Amino acid sequence: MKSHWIKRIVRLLVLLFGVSILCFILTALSSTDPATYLVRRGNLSPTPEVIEQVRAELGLDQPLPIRYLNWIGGVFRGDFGESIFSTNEVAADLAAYFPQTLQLVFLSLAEIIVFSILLGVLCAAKKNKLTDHIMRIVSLFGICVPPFWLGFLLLIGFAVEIPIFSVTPASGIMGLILPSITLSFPVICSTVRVFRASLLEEMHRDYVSFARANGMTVNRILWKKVFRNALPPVITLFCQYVSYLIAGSAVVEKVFSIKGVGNYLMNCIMAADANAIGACMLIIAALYLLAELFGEILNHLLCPWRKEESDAA
Amino acid sequence: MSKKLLQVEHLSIALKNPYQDLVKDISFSLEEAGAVILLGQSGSGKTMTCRAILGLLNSSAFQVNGEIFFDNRSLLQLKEKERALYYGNKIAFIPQNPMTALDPSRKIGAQMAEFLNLHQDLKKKEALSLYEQALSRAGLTDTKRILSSRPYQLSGGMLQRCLIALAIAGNAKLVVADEPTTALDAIHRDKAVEQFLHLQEQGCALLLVTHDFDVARHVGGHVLILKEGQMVEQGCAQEVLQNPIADYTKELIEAIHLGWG
Amino acid sequence: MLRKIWRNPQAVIGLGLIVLICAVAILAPLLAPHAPDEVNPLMKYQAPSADYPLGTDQLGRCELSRLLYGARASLGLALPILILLGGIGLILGMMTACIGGWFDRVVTGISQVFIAFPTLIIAVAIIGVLGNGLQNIIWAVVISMWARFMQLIRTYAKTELGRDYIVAARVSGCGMWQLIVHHLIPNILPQFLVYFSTGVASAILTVSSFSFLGLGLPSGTAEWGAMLEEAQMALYSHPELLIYPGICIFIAAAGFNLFGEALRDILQPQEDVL
Repeated sequence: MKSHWIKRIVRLLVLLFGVSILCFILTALSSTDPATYLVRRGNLSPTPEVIEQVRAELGLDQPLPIRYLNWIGGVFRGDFGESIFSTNEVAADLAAYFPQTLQLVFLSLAEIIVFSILLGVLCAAKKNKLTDHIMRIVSLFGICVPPFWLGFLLLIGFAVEIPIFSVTPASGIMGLILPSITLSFPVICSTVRVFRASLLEEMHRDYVSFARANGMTVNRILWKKVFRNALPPVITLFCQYVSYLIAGSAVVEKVFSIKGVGNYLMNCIMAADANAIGACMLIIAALYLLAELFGEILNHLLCPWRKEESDAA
Repeated sequence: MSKKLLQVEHLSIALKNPYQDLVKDISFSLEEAGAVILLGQSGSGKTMTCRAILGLLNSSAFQVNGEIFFDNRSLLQLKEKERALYYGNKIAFIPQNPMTALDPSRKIGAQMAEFLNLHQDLKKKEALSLYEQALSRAGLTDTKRILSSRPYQLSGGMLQRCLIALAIAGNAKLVVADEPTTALDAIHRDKAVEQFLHLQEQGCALLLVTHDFDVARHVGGHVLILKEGQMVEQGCAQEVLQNPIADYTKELIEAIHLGWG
Repeated sequence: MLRKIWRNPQAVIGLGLIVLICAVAILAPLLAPHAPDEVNPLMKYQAPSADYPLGTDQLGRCELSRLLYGARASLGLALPILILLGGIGLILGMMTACIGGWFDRVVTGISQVFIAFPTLIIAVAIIGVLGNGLQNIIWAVVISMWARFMQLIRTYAKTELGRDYIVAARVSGCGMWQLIVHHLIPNILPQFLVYFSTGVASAILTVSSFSFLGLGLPSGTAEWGAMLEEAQMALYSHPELLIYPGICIFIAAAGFNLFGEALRDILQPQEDVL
């Protein structure tokens, strides 16, 4: 068991290395040369000599491996370089934009966890009854609906027609309710079905009929035994969604005009801001890998037998 | 004549959709401390009969006709809340595969104490010590370790004894065992049969489902031979297995002698 | 199999929607009353009329015509994406499952690195590298999604490879190539179709969110996501311009999702015991 987790951590480090390489390559290959961009913006005449000089200042004339080492060294010191788009330190920009996005993401995640678990149990308990069929249709709707359109529908419905919320971003939790629903609704629709399927799969197991044959009621079996054993697949999903929601917030932030990381990232793309794009990508991917490991640990604590099964396989 | 504990009368079971007969018109009765063996190939309906007696057939998928009486009470008419009065209390179940019978995530002690608490008003500690005594009566020595183990950490033979211990701790009147020897190797099989005989000596009736003629011969009692959901022959175990009347039984016994059993 | 699809109402509805969307995409020039990019500054925000059945947008372009041409843009992007994804997934998935060893480890490792990036993030970065354009958006989505397809095929191929009939075929001297073509591919094809169908749906959604963010397509293209972006400024005055393109995206995605999921239900009938 111990060796399993050591291997797992080694894998995490290897993957983190791979992720950083990919981030670096994508930003280094950027079709817009940051040096040219800087020179043009500074109203200097873009003579090749001036551009070369700026390139040297930015360290862009060195071979790729050296540039990678410079970059990753900076990352370890918390220095992602200067943003071309905002002319600030990227780290400072991220510190300014991340809190807003994280609030949105964690509120959405909380909605996702609560609703997918409750509705999943409800659907499994009322399998093939009216509630289950309605949920099936609703979740099909949620999977097919483009999230930004859902955001507009919510805005038209609850800010224009029935003005409960304001169209311009409000401060505090009120301003986050519509955006978080936009972000969480499609996700809830797919996780509810995963959890329902997982619960029903567990309901077919032998231990359920043994518990029935020992006089336990179906509801008690569902909550005390099946529930716990059916959780791991959705816990894995919840953990993956942490970073996917940050990415998804780019769209939602545009709809609701929120100044968050997604918005910042889009502006950086338009400005071909390699430093900022690389930093955002690296943070989001690293977060994904860490959340994935966290989910595995949680699943191991909940259902140790699943690990034994996957090790045997 | 001793008292009838379990009476199965004209039991028929069918799958609703698509309609398919699984068990047709089976009747038998079991006395206190007696033994009934349902013998047949797979698909003969013996496991279905067992599940019907244990109330495990979902009424939305299965159609069950006939009557099953336990202590003169109809088991097919039980309400959800009344189930606990019988199942796990007076009627104990030993499933085919002991490895999958328990919740894999929780410790055996906690699960068993929970089962006992459904029927007896005990504190958790009392339930645990009651079960621990039953474990040693079932022939297990390492009881403390077993209580704090999870099911996947124990062997099949050990787990089966844990399930038998649950029947002992619950003072079961009837033990329903569905193919209890199939998942075990030869040595454990003999030990398991001894366990069942021991339970019977202490006044517990046995309903044993098996396809193994040796086990049937060893346990004895009343035998029903089933084929495709119908009973082809019944009688005292020694009698039926020595001098079968029905052609099907003869074929089965011959097949075993030829080594195809 | 085909008969089962005809008997399943969900599959029939899904297939009907797919056929509808494809027909609209192919026949758009015949169906549309106007050219999709015919700007007419005098006819801004017209109400529906005989000439403009769904009215006009902020540049006086015919809304209906743009919606019809939008089907072309959506399918024209989603289908090549899925064909590329399917091809890459099938080849790499089969190779990793059959060759195994270090090759499997390296390719799987690389795919795990790619999976750590949400589709949108990696596609955004790739468009940043390649620049805007139809082909670039296709490659961006393919590069951001190939890892999932490959892992899926690999898992299926591995399960199939472990089955008895494959072992029997290998023992009886069946070559690897023969094995893949005659046994492996036919056996995972139905599962593959399920993912292909639902994959088209998610590609339609992904592409539309990219063009909503202003990535990929040249501005002014009649694409549903881009139309939503342009209509955003008319949220108060003309909310219907926000509603139509969304309905189109929804219908297209629903068609492929309904069909894919019905197919999955047909392939894996749920047990109803207990």
